[in-house]
Amino acid sequence: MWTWFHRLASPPSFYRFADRVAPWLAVAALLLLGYGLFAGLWIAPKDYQQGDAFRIIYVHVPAAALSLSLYTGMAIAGVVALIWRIKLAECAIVALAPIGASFTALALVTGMLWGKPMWGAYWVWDARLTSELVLLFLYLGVIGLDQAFLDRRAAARACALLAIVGAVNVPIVKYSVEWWNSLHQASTILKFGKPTITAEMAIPLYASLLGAYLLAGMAALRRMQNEVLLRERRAGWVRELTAV
Amino acid sequence: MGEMFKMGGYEVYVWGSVLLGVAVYAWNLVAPSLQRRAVLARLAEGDEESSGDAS
Repeated sequence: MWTWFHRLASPPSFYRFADRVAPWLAVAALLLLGYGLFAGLWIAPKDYQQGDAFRIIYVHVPAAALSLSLYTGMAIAGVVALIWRIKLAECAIVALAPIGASFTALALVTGMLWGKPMWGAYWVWDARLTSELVLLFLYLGVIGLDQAFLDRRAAARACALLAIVGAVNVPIVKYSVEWWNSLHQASTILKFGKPTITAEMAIPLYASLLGAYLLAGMAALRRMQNEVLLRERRAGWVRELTAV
Repeated sequence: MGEMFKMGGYEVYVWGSVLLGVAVYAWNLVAPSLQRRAVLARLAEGDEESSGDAS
C-alpha cells in the first residue's frame, strides 16, 4: 500500500495514472450529472412548501459541498507540501484553487437565485452567505498569489500558507447555520443519521453530488498533470512526451 | 410539457441555476485541456523567459 503511494507520488507515475483514470472519471461524472439533473428537474416531486423552486438544490448543494471539500483538500495539500515538501502536493494546491473558486461562485449565485423567490432577497449579510463569500475570496487569493511568483516552488509555499490559514473559515461556513440565527436552512442530507428528505428527491441529489465530485476529481487530475509538466519540463520523461 | 418548463412560476430561477450549473460543469471539463494546450505550447517554445525555478 505505502509503496504504491510512494510510486504514485513520483511525477511520471502520477502523470500516467492520471492519464488512465481521468477519462473514466469524466464519463462517470457526465452520466451521473445528466441523470441527477434530469431526474431532479422532471421526476422528483414538488416540494410541499417551495414548489418547483426547490429544484435549484440539484445544482446548489453539490456546488456548496464541493466548495468546502475542495478547500479542505487544498489546506491538507498545503500541510503536506509545507512539512514533507512533496511536489505533487504543491501541484494539488494550485490545481484545486480554480476548481474550488468556480464551484464556490456557483454555490453563491444559485443560492441568490434560490433566495430571491424564497426569502424575498438575493442577498443578506447573514453568517452562511458572508462566510461563503469569504471562501470565494480565499480561493481568489490563492489563485492571485500563485500568479504573483515566477518561481513555482515559492508560489506553492505561499499558497500553502494562505490555504492553511484560511481553513479556519471552513467550519465557520459549515456550522454557521447552527451557531447563528440564519435565514439559510440547516442541512437536510449532509448530516449523520436519517436524512429528512424523500428518496425520490434524494437519489437524484446523491447522483448529482457524486457526479460533481467525480468531475472535480477529473479536473484536479488534469490540472495537476499540467502543473507537473511545467515543473518537470527539464526532465527526460517530459522532453520525450512533448517531443512528439 | 410547457408546464414542466414553467416550474410553477419559478422558471427564471430554476433554469437560470441549471444553466449556470451546466456552464460551470462544462468549464471544468474543458478548461484543463485548454490549459494543457497552452502549457505544451510554452514547452515547445523552449520556455526560457520563465526559467526562474531552475533550482
